[in-house]
Amino acid sequence: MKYRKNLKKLLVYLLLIIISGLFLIPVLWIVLSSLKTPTDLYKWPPSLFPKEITFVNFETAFKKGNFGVYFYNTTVVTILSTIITLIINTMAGYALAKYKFYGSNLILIGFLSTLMIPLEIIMIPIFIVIRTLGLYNSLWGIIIPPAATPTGVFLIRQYLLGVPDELLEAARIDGASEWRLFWNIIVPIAKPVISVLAIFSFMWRWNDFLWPLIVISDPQKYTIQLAISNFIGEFNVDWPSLIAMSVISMIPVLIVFLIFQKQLVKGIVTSGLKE
Amino acid sequence: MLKSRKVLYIILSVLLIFTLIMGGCSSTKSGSNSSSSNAPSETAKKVKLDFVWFTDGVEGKVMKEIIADYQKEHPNVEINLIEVPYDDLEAKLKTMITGGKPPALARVTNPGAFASAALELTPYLGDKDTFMSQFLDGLKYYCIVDNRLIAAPMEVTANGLIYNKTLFDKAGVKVPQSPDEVWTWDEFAAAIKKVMKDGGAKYGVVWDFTPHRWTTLLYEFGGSIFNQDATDTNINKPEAIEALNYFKKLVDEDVVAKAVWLGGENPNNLFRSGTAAAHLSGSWMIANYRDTIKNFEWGVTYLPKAKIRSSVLGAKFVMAFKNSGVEKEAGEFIKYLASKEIDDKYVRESLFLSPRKNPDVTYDFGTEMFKVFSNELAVSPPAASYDWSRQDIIPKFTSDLKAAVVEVLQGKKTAKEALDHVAELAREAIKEAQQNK
Repeated sequence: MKYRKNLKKLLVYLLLIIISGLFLIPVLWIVLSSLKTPTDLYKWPPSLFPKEITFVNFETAFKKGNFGVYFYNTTVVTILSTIITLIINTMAGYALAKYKFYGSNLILIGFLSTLMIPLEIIMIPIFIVIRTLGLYNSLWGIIIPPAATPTGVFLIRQYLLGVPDELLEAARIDGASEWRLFWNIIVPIAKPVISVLAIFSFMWRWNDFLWPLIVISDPQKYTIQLAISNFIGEFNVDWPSLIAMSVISMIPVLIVFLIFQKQLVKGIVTSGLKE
Repeated sequence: MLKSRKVLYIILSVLLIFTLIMGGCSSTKSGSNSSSSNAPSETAKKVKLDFVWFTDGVEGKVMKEIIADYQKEHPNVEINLIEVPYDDLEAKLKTMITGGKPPALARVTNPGAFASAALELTPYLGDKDTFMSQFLDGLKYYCIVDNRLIAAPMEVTANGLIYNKTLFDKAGVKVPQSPDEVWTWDEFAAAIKKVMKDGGAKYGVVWDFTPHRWTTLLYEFGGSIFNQDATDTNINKPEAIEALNYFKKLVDEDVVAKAVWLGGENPNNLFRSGTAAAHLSGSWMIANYRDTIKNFEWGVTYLPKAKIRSSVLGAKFVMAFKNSGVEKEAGEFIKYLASKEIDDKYVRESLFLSPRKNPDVTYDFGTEMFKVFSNELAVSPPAASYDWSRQDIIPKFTSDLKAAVVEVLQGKKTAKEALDHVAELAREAIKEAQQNK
């Protein structure tokens, strides 16, 4: 009996390991490829493991651009934009979930409908707004506009709908102000979903490409994604540098994910549980 | 009550600190390059020119050196090279132009797409016909649009044949050494078969999977995509059908590798791996192959001929834009770039083909190869330049042309059926372009 149970467990684990291996192959491949010499990289048929491990691709890539500055810029943009996103999205989501006011549904629908408009369509109008505000070619120009993410508002609103009104009523009877309600009750309750949003927002801003491409013109203000895509020309792609820099740019996202992952799992579990 | 305020204060002050840090950083970094209109800086009238650029190889580095030289001579000018990926160049430029903030300069492959926003360059470069007369004839279709000179050529590309010298030597096959010895396609097919049999090449010719490279054969068979003024298409004329049937024959006999046109393999990788006899590509591969091929010898030889010899001309240009506020400085910089001395330096160091007639550039690497490519361009018919200069029409049906070629290779359609269909789409595209004018 116990033997069969263990066997079943073993099979399940084996299957899981194989599947996760499949998902890991692309990541593994790019990491290993970044350690190959350029000639080795173009070898046909390709091999997974480098013949000899070398960091020459990283060296050439770092010589080709000011990658320290690009990483700094991307970090500043990502962190600031994520902080702003978290604050305004939590507030908006809370208001839409818990305050009943005339037209609140209309506002929600308004938010949601912006999800269906791709950036390419509204690019020029936003560009004109940015230029008029004097944010063109400044990091603020890529921090502020993308910080307003309707997905975040929706995510938080849906989560907070599950918080019983009685809880807020009780706090109000005890004399808590609306601000205190928000900071001391709503924010702690919403921690899992805020973590989820933090990871998403970090990933989105870290990988943003089109909008920074449009707004930023000064090479000193380039983000990492802009710099990486400049390795792509009309006829040629500088694969060795491109792969090396992509590997480095994966690291921060990985770190953020590791920090928030417990919350993320919890968030996914609890956001599925409604009363 | 008190605590909630405290939290609010903390958050606000954190934000404030961040803002200050940010402000501090950006001011130290951008202090010197704030735009000319609102910041009169130390030197009396310093102007900044934004130059939108994309990079294929080392030419970005070369251009930065040229810019540094120019800035030394003109201390009041600062040129800011904005590098963008080639695929997003058009999006970036169009947004900047439509958004009312056009750059001073840009490197482009199709100046015609930006004709309405382009700065007329005759005040800087002189009479348009005299200026263009020093360049390859085909370039005027790109640079003179609606009778205005809107761009200056910087370099050209030519389609051509790169071969694996090691495999050819092993098979004992000699390539033509001069334009007089050029192969016919049948002779070439026999040579490739010999290299595959005796030289051990796994693939014959890896032929770039693009409609642009395919048309090399079209022009050699005397065909073309458009008639002389692009009011109609020639794509289903007998010459084109003959060219496509011949291409199918080459593929059926494995002279042209099926792996690329029917198997989706990357021809550059196949050639680099040393298993392909030859690569039908173009002059832009020279710098790349110099750096990435270490384990065999390769070279460039003349394309075989059909009815005539032909390559296909491609080119890159610099252009300036209206309403940038620095039109005069931009025009003068283009004059500097287009001068023979500077442009020769640019193409020599970037390993590009010179856009000039009878170029006399000596390269550190592959001067002989560049001579072959230049010779190919010199003998190409006007249609091979004109067709591809019509970037207002041609992109609308080139993917259909590619699909049509594939369908014929797969045996799903005859050459006539497939090309009749492309001709229909081409005529629609022509009509559309005429209505837009």
